[in-house]
Amino acid sequence: MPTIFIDDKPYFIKEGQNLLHAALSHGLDLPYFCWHPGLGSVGACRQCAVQHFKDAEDTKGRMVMSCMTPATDGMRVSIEHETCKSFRADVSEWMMTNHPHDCPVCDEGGECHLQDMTVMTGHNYRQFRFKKRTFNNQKLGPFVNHEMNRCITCYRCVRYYRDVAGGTDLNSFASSNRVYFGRNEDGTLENEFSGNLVEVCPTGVFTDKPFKAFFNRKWDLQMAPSVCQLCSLGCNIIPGERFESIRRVQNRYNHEINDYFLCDKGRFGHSFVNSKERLFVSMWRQKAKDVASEISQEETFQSATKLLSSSKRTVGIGSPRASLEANFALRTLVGEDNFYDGLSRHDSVLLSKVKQIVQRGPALTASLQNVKEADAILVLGEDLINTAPRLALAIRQNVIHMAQKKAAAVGIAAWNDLAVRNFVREKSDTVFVVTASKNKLEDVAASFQLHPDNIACLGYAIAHELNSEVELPKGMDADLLAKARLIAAVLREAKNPVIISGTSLYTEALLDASANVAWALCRQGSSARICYALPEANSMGLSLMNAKPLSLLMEEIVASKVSVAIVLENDLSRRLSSENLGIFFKNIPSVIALDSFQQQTVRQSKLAVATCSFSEGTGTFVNNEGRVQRYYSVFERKEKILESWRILRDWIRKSKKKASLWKNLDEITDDMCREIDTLSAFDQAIYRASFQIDGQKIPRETNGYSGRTAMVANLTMHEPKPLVDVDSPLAHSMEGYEGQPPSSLIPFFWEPGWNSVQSVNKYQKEIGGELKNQQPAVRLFDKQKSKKIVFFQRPPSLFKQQSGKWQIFPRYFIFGSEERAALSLAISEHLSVPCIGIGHEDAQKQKWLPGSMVNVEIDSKKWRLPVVIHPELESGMALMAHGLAGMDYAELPSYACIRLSESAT
Amino acid sequence: MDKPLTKNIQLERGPLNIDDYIKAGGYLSVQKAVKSMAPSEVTKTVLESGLMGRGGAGVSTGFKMGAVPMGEHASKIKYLIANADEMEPGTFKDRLLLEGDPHQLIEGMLISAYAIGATTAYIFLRGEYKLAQKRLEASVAQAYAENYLGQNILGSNFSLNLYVHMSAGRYICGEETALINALEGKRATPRAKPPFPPISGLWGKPTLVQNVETLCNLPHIINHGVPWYKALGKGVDAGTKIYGVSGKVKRPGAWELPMGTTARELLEVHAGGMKEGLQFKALLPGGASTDFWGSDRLDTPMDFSSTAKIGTRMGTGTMIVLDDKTCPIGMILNLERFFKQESCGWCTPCRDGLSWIAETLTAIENGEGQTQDISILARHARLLGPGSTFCALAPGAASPLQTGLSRFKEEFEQHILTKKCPYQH
Repeated sequence: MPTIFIDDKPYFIKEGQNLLHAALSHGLDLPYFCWHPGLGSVGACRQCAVQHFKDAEDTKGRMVMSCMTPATDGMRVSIEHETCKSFRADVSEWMMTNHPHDCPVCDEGGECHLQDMTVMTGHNYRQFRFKKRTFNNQKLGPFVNHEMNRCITCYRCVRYYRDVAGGTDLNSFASSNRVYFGRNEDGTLENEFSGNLVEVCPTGVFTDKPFKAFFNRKWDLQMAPSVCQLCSLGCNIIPGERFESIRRVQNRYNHEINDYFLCDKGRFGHSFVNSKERLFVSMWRQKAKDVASEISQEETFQSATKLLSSSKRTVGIGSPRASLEANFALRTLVGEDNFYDGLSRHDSVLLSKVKQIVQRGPALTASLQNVKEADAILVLGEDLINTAPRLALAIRQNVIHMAQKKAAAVGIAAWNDLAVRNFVREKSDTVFVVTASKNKLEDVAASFQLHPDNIACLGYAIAHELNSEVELPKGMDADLLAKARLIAAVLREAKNPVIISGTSLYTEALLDASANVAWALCRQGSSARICYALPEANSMGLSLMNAKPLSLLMEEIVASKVSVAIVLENDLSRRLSSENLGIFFKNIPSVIALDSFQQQTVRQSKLAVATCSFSEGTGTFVNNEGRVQRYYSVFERKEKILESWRILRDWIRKSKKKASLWKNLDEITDDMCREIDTLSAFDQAIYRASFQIDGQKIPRETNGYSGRTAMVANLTMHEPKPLVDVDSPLAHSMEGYEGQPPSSLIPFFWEPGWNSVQSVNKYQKEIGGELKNQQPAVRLFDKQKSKKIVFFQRPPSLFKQQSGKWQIFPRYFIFGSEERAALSLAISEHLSVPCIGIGHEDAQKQKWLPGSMVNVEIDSKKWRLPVVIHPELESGMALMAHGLAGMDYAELPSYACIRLSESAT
Repeated sequence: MDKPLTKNIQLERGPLNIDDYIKAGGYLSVQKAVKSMAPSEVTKTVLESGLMGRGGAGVSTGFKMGAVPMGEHASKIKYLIANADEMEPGTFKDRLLLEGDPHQLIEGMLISAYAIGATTAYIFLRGEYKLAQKRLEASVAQAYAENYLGQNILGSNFSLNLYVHMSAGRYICGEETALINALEGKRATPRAKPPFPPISGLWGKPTLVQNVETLCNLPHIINHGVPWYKALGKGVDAGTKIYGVSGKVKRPGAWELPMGTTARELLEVHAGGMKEGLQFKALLPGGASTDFWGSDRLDTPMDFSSTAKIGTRMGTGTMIVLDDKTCPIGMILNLERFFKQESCGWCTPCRDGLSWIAETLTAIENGEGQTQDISILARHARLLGPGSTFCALAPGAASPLQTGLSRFKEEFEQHILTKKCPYQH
């Protein structure tokens, strides 16, 4: 193994690393600013200077920037040499010439990379005696706060925002010591990943704006390892709490999924927990039209068990956003025969198809890391930026990864970021993104737009190119066939291709086509993987519960004589048409809805049961790739609200006379693994509550946590007893194990001298790689694969326009289509508005302008919406906003008449 | 004495048009190279001639040309760029060539482009050089009309398109990779090297960036051969050089002289010595980013090799002379303010260090200097030296500061002690 000598000590290195990366990977402290493991090296800040010696005799050496110097076998360098050491302090002093030194009032204070690095260099007295330069700040929208005077000009923000995230509205302006990072005018940052600026910025220029509004120091937050609740990818997050409110969400590094970056929905959407729509107290409504009255937890229990005991038939309606445990508890209460999935008709069908494909194999599912490292990617249909944003970013990371491979051919190192970018100018020739409308990956990938059925046909044609067993759709034109051949040729050459699709266009043929492509590649011997974006955070988990489709219940609802329906964390108005929702409530006398916030089903139910949210309860999700992940409660409310599974458990205890059922999460977990085959490997993914290190639990509070008595001093001067968490190895305390816990149990990242988010360096085996205490992922579909391939054989017909009608498909929005994220204060300022998207050709023909109000008529139902022009949309199809608040559920895809609304706009 | 570079230049007449230029022997080298020499032979000839880059760094031109990948596997797209962004303070040698004989530059670029296999070339011209722009554009049009530019030049397989690009005006664009970024429409920030432009330059393709004066030498080397060229120089280095003198001398100007002419000859013979009543105090030999020389160095031959031998640099070879009635601190302040202003803001020492230097010098010159200022300036002069910054701008800025601090130590101390500039009346 290649070895370098740092201050005369030998260190093994990995081929192709730079010196900084190598030194940090060995746990050495070497300060840096412009370098970032997710961004590579540019050599701008000069902070990471080290001394490089010709040989063992050379004592003077030559100063080099470690981030820009390849580590090569036998190299001798010094971090401690006086020349480079004092230069590093000088660099700090330069940075401090204009820095306002406002740490006490700065949001970054106490978790500031600039503070950490300045201390590390030893700089402490500033000789600069002249006026500091000052800047005007900008209003950058609801997510990110801007304070330019603190800037040390490391260029990370623009490099991240433009080069990694693909944003265009943040730039560097001016020169000399007046370089300014901002927009050309005030305005909301346009990029969907803008929140990462908060973590990428090494000081307090870009900070978390919602956090600022209710600010406290990092060390005063109670934190826990958690999983994003707002899409199916399962990005790892760290929510932080104070005074029973979630103050912010930070990235929790997981190199197989989200590495260093989250999307803005994930970062800013979880404060729905603090929303005024939260349901803290259960409500009872004697008759449908009564005003609901608040009832206590005991009354709730009595009312529910009374309803259940007198019920002829009780059905349970599960939820793709509720935990496995909650769904399992409901299934146990009502019995498998009475357990329904709570999905719309299409979601049900699509989800079981996805499950079939990933279970049957032979293609394994792809993690985001697989996507980042794939040598070819095909996206069929899914509008990732809106339905699985972090996956779209992973594709951007893949394009960078592939560019690095190209640059290696002329000797440019992968970390030499700008050199790689300067050398590779073309768009990727290995990433193909085919969608119905623009997908925001056009700038990096080969991309074009087709009708969803035609995308599926293209997929079939690609699969046919790869394996003639797959049927070729009829009537494809030469252009489309040529595209299919080109894409097939690239995929054929790839060793690790990933085929991506999803459910958001409600087009089953897309799932079939993408499976065919992946399987045809597997047949050739490549290790092709498949990746589906699913509707919700635990869609995959729900699919493992063998629930019946909700549509089945709707078909038999009149005859079925259901007396009680328990709706678990689900708003049926998002799953059923208003007509069907009416039928549901009319035919079921007692609807019990459990949820943590007010929504239409809760408002209409007889008994609305307040349950805790993800921040106050522990549970488990299965993400889109079949990865089992547990999120841990961050805090407990003084007025404790129970998790859904505990509430349901109490009802089971009473109704089934099992007084000692499921005393804690471990017990329900054990039962679940026993009963559900697919989940048998599940327990490897989690630590039992009894898990301790050195006889200690893992504290959720930092060792600087203050005010545990002061916080309640207005009520009592006694220090409250720490709450006991019977469900997890984590403690609601600042006392406990202070070392690094296993990866899934890390409540926050911190090391002495490393107070910022970059302390994650100290938790990694190699910087940017896996964590030191990385647990092997539990991915449910990695085994049990049959080698036998049976291709899907019914390609759809190519789309034919129907005169006078439009085929309407749903359009999701990153900000708005997720019901809970829309309740977050920050996101509510950034919501998309209901609209209907029409192609350029159709709009011209109809003489509709952007903003023209039209009536969209599906069957006999009308939606009055403003027109948005998508020039690229095929004629005869339209995209209707989906899932936005205030819009009735529409069963899509459907044919509709669209007419200019006669009433004034 | 041969003056190949300026033989066609008569300022009062204006530049030769293409017909007269050809009559004067112009474009012969292109005929010769394209018809009778392989590209590699051209490069070899330039290498052997000993021509060193006239932009100031003095790198072997043939070596730099040879770094461009050739052959079947090399990129089909390559670029040649003439660096005509002459912004070094006190330097006006390229301006003479650009305004005086634009066809000579085009001819030189044809030779270079032919040698490296470039099919597209740019002249990156200083934003203020409006007259040069006018004359270059006219000459380029004439060259296209006569098929010295365009497709299949002189019936050969060699084609070259040439564009004149006016700089938006930054000193840093003289740095070749910052120039490339600027030409691409990006911020004019230097790029990390390696990779050098011959491997990955403009639009990521192999690119050769050459100074105007360097390029103008090429036709003559091809026409007259290596021994002739070598013999032009007085000392070790080959060829002639356009030297210049500015400051309070009797006849400021620029002259083509044998490489290796001494500073004294330039000052006393060609520039006619100091103006009446003024004494020579010091000079910057080749633009603002070189060391101060005192009278002790006047007999140094002005070439790359001789100056390197005594640990200094000739730079562009166009000296700025300081007299005894001008405040040296004021002069240094003027220079450092320029460098501070022109720092691209990429690396910390340059961005924040130069600002600090400029602030400190301003204070000293305004009579607000403090005792520790001299050590702060000395620390900066040392820290901004080679190796600690991203490009050569800050080390260039440190050169006059460092040598100024030692040569004008007394003046510095006097400014601080008396709290005023003694040169101001």
